[in-house]
Amino acid sequence: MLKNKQKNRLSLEKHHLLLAFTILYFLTFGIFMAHTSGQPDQAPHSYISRQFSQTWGIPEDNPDSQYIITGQPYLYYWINGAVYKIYRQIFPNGNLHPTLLWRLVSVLYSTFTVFFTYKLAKKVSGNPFIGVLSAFLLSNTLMFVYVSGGISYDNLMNLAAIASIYHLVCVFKKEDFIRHTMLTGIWVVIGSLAKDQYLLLALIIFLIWIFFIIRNFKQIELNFNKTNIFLSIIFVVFLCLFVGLYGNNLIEYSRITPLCYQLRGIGQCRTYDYRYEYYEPFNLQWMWFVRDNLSDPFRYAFTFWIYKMMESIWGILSHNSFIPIFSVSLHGILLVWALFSLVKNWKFINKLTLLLISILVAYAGYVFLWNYKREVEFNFQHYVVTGRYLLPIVGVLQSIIIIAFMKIRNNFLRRMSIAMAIIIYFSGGLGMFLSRYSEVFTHWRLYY
Amino acid sequence: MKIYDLNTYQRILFFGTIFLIAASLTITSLFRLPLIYEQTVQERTTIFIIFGLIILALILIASLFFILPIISLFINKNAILFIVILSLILSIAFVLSSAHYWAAPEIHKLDICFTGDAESTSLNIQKLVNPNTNRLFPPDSFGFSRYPITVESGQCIHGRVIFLISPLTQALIGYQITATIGESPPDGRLLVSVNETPSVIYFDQAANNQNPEIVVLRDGFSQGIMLRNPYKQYWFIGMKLIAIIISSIFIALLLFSLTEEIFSFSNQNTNKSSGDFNA
Repeated sequence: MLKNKQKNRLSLEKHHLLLAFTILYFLTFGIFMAHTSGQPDQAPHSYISRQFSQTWGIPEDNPDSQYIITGQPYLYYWINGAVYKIYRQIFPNGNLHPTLLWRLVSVLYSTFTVFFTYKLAKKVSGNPFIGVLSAFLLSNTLMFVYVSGGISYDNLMNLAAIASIYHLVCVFKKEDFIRHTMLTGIWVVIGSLAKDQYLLLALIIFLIWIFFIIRNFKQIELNFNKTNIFLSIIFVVFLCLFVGLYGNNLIEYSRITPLCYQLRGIGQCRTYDYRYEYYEPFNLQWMWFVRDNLSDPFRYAFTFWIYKMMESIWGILSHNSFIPIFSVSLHGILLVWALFSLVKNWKFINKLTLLLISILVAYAGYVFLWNYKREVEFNFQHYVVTGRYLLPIVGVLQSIIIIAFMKIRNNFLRRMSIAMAIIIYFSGGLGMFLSRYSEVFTHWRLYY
Repeated sequence: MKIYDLNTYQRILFFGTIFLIAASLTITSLFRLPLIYEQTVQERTTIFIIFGLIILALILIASLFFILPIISLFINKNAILFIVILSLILSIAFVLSSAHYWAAPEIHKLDICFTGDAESTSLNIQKLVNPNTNRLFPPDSFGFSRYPITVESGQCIHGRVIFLISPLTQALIGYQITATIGESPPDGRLLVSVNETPSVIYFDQAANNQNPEIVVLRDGFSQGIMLRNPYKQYWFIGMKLIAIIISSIFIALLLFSLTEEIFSFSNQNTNKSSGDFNA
């Protein structure tokens, strides 16, 4: 008994050591990426962050600028503005370039995303080493690290996604209901105030939470201690901010976020950024006539979409692109092997893993339908078809991959699968960055 | 087994092995990077020592915490099978995945002179690239910490580029460099000597013929200096091969130990945390 206790304590120390290594590893990789260019939409993110760094409130729109601030999710930019103002107050003569400061803030968000991935996989599997492995896989996901090094609301949204899913899992594990419901709610609002794409995940999380309440109504214990009351107050404040943005938009513009022409003259909205306002809308009558010439969703998924997603998660697809095709293929094989292991050992999969799979399928399914609808509207010109939109759930995917491998019953195969996952992810992550630096990433180098 | 369970002889053997592994992993990692070949001997030595010490610390931690405690399991048939197969896979991957690892550097001297039609003009060279591999040559040897390389009118700058000639890719590599000049270079005469073989390019905005944005340099590369010693010598190639094998075996041992740690934790806690809920 005593020996077991000592062994457990030693195991805890070991996984903490590995976690610390993984966090340091990600920070190093992220800081390298903060010195590369080409992340998505750096010009608008940088511009809006600058506007927010001039006020503590919401800045007014500049009619001469093509970028809109009014009615848009603002939290990411507000934090960027606040960080810059605080930096300037502490170091009035500091010469840290604001864009580098905001990139480093992004790396920090993603470090917490890596940490929450660890917590999520640990919570679901009960094994902290599985948590560390999932965090390590995420730390080597090329597109995730690349976006982490840029100025982008995606980083705050990804953090909010994994954190809210983690607290939802805690609710399902019947840990303090009030505390974890409030924390789920707070993260959901943070994500929604960072980027409107998060609203879909908010809906999925809300539906799953309702499902839990319906099934466990009588067993729920409400514990109103000081911490929970404090968290409830914070949640209410965040909820007010949420309603203040999206409720106001719905009343004023009849939309979640206003369109360009609702705020500006039509002439100012004819840029590439606002192309969605000038497309052939999805029309059932038109669909009736062209139904035989359309690429059907199944063919589209299996001949294009899945490959594109893989290329742009384990490769880089943005203003700069780098798709290491051999590495992407190996990641694909690993994914298929994980899927096979999952199906073969389905009866050993616990219900929390099923919860993660449900979130993954619902979110990825929506992104697919959203992409397909856009493809139909824009005549299959492949606008915004990129794995970046799946990054909020990529930590969930990697937790499921490791859990699936852990269910393999043959000891040798299980060991080999995990070893190969570590090797493939390292060689497709930091290993790839270093070995291809002089041929690829040095061309994207940013100097501050 | 723990470190204090070892006798003096075993401890010497343990630390000797750790040093050998650290040296092997340092060699296996650093010779894959073109950066290493572009440094002076002194800079290269410093990089090797600093990187080697970091690797040594990591290996020591990994060995003390993960490998040594389960060293008795390595004589198990399944463990041997896993370690042998994984070592083989890793060795093959290490041998084939980097052309630079087996490369010998070939040094080419470059002299770049520019004479502008107007005085006080200058020519910016945005990039010097190997078009076969897209490898960017560092501008350090020309006296610049970053691109562009600026050549003032009437001046010459001198530097070098290093080709990495590897038996894996040699047959497919053409001996050339592309110099990206940009859209509107000032009128004038650019003279580039590769190993003292001159090439001349004239830029003239008034002439109808378009100025090239990219200049391809092909002449003079047959006279570069290849550093055969030690890169082409058998003892050096053999040493790198042994470094790969030692690194592969160590990584396989480490991965076995890590997976053993994960599995034993899972087995101990199967009943403690089922991960189920009553939904």
